[in-house]
Amino acid sequence: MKKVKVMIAMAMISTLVAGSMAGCAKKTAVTPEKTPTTVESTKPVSLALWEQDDPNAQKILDGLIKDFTTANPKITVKRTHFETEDLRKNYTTASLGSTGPDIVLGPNDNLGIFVPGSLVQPIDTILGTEFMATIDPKALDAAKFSGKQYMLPDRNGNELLIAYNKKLVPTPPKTFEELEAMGLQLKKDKKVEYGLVFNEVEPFFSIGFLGAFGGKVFDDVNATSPKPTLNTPAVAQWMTFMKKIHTEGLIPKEADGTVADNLFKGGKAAFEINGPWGFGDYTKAGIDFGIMPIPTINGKSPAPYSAVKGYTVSAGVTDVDKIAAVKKFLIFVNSKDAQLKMVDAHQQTPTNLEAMKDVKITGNVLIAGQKDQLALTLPMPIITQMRAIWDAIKPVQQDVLSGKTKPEAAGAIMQKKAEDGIKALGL
Amino acid sequence: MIHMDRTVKKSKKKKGNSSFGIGQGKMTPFFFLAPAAIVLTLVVAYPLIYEIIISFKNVTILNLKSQIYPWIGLGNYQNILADSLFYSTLIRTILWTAINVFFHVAFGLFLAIVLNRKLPGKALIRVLLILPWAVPQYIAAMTWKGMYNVEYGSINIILTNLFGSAAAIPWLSVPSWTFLACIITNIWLGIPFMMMISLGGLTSIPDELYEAADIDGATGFQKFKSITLPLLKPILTPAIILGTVWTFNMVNVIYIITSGSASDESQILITMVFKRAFQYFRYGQSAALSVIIFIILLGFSTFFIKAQKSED
Repeated sequence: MKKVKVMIAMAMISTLVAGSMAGCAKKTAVTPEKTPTTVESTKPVSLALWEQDDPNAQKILDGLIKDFTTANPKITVKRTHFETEDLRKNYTTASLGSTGPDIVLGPNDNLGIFVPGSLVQPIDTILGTEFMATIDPKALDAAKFSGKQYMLPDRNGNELLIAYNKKLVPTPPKTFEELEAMGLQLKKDKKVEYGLVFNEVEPFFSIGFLGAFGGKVFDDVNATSPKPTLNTPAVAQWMTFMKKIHTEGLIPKEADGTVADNLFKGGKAAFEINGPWGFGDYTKAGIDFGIMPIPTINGKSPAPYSAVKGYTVSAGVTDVDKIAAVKKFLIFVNSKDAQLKMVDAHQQTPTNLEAMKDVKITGNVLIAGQKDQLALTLPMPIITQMRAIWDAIKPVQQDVLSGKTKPEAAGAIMQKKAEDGIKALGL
Repeated sequence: MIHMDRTVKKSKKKKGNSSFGIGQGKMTPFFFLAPAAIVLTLVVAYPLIYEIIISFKNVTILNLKSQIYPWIGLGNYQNILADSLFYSTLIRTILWTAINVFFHVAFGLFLAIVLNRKLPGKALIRVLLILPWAVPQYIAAMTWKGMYNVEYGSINIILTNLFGSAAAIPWLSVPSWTFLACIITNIWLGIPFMMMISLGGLTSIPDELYEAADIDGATGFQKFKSITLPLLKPILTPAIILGTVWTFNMVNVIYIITSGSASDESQILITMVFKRAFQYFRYGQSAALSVIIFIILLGFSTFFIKAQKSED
């Protein structure tokens, strides 16, 4: 009898143990998926999509997903939102196991991490040459890494430009010097709190000015081991310029993206350096605004970075059914109609050649107006080392603005930090 | 004593009749402990051991997916210990933890004592004081960040209204001020926990002790020193250890208020781990740094508990 009781106790405990381990069974669940089946299988497929788009784009994406799943009832698509950095971090760790997404929608600099980490697979082989021919070749070029097509771009631009409040600025300035004078005058007249605003924390928003002084961040982006070039007279001039517009009060003493946006949306700033993703919020805030390229400094044009954003497919997607579903979904969301819908949110040039010719794009002042700025942009370096560059500039720029570091000393500090950062990356 | 044992045996026998025999064997306690032990092994021991193992390996973004990580012995540890940034960050972390925990305990205990008395509107005050705990840390830190803006933040608006425009503090642009801003935010966040723990402890102290002290003519401070503090010690000791570990490893507040902890001068060890692991993808190195943090905290906890025991 005692033995029976002990056996009962053992059985109960093993049930508990099995229960507690239930969550660990996911890995084994992958195996059956890997078994190849026919492409036209009616097996239900579930796709996980991660993105880092703004709320307006998320809404449109949800609508597209709904249309897609109605037309393809066997496929479900689960969209998850992350902020840019979180997406990168979580995707990298998740792709080790089986919990990662199948598709990621994000900027092309993700490739600098995803490709060296073998986390994604070439996308042109999945989608086929026929479909790839419907996409803008220039955008496709920007979505390549080490010569291979890892990303399907869905928008081209991501560039910074100047948005100005038409009420405060009836005639837009032609040079930065004019903008400066206008902004300071408006401030003097108490019509604005600041002439110009932008995110002063993230160097992405100020690096365009470096171009006006003839500087760049790497000696050769395409080299096997590119060297940072931050200890240069151009960087010193850029930082001196930043310090000048800060001290004279053209830009706020302290501003992150939220402060800058709120000042412009509240009509308290005449100009904002921002990207097309901000246009929707300006309209919502009831600001009558115009756009223009960041004007010339001493006759030279600033060169903000441009980038493409698009879809990548996880290296973990190997199941034939899943690949077929991914193909169907990506072709659907990058069709002319779908891309045109997404334009409402991101206000950038689409990449579908048919969509680019549509009157909605050619007749859109906000998109057509970006052409001049886009012509002056530099493609953002998407190599892994760029992380070290951003991390080197960010704190030093802040120290220059706060007066802790002299502008002429900034370059050397940035250079050292960038070199240490590249070493820290193990490259 | 023998009599007591007999009673226990008797009662065991009685219960045994209706408990399917699980209450009888020598192994019984282990059966009951087994589920918890297994769960703990899976969620605590396994990751810990795995972390220690990869701290001796070179794990980067380049070989992460392959799961083939070369063994480099103490290489990661040598790298960390040879870096002067580690020592300056360690000192800052100790400072950060000590200041935070001190104020958590001081304010928490003070508020608990106030709340333990008869107060009008006590329930409402208690809810208000617990509020920082109810707000998600991320939201709280974002709100504080907004309040620290040099021109548009409420803190500087108050300061400049009181003391003139020169009183504006560049909370977010000068690293040393940013660090202070993080400390203030974290103190605000941590008080409710210590307050609730202390309040729980205070209610368990019998009133008779205070009454007796009153009869002996003890002052308020004497009562606090000789009754309240010693009787709260068994509750405060684990709370302080927990508080120290949490504060030492607080990523959220520092990361949000410093806008990604870009400046080396306002980061602590754990944000260094975060950056190395998830921005520089040096998993091996950050595992080694985590092991160092683990050893520091283990050492502190052991020392603190021993010190408390020897005092008793």
